[in-house]
Amino acid sequence: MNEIERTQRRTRGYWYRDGIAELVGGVALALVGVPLMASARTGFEMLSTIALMGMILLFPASAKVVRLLKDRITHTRTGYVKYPQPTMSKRRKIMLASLFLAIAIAMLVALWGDEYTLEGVVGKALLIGSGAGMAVAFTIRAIKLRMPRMFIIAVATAAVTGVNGFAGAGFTEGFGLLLAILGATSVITGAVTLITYIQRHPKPSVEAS
Amino acid sequence: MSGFEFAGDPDRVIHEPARLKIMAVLSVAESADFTYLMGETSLTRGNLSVQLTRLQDAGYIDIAKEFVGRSPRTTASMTPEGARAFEAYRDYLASLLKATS
Repeated sequence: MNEIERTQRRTRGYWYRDGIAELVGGVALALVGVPLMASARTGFEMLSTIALMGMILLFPASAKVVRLLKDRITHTRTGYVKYPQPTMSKRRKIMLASLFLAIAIAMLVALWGDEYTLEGVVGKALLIGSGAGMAVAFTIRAIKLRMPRMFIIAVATAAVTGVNGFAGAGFTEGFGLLLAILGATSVITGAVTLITYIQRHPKPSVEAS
Repeated sequence: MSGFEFAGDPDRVIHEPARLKIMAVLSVAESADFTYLMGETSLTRGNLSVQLTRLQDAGYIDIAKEFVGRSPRTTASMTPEGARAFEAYRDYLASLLKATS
């Protein structure tokens, strides 16, 4: 790999260098996953509603928290990089793909699900499929950005998916466990990365422009 | 005939290592600020400023100044002309490697 490609890779991976996105995203995932899991265990369905509300509110809020923390911590120490936003046509394609996926899942649940819920065979297949997909995505990210800590998240995700598969967990409980473990692992790797980053890059006495 | 036939001379503006690094950063980012570019190029503030001005004068980058809270932030972004020049430079390097391998 030549110096141009090394520089480009470092710049692409700069977003993850401080661990802030992992830390905040991990907290949000855990806050959604734990009530989801508890709802399935206790039968107290209000908890899954709380988890759903949390998902709607927490994810946009966590993006704002990440930006705020990066402005305070990262940009003053090692600088600011703005990444290209997806074009409108790409956004439309993503929205269409998501819509088709949602319709496909709804049809599967209606045809083969248990009483139109995600519990049952369809839910189990979705649970294992989504877990395996996440593990693969983290592995690809770890290789592309040369960030070994992403392997830890990939392994944790794969392990939970395996446990869910062997235990035959229902969708709500299994997905809650997946999000909770994924969140907890991200919090740990993110926190360690952030501490290391701050130690390596002390705040400059005079803020650079 | 020398026996070495390359695709012309390299673009001298991009050929300089520090400027090449700046262009490499901006080829994958919408924009990057002065602090980040200083870290990537290991240049002093003054030297980086000179290199950025050189790229700006060639029409390869745009420089913008903004305020984030009370702190000023100077950012650089690649122009379409800069993107074309960077691509042409990479093609030149590829042809050079092909010709010498």
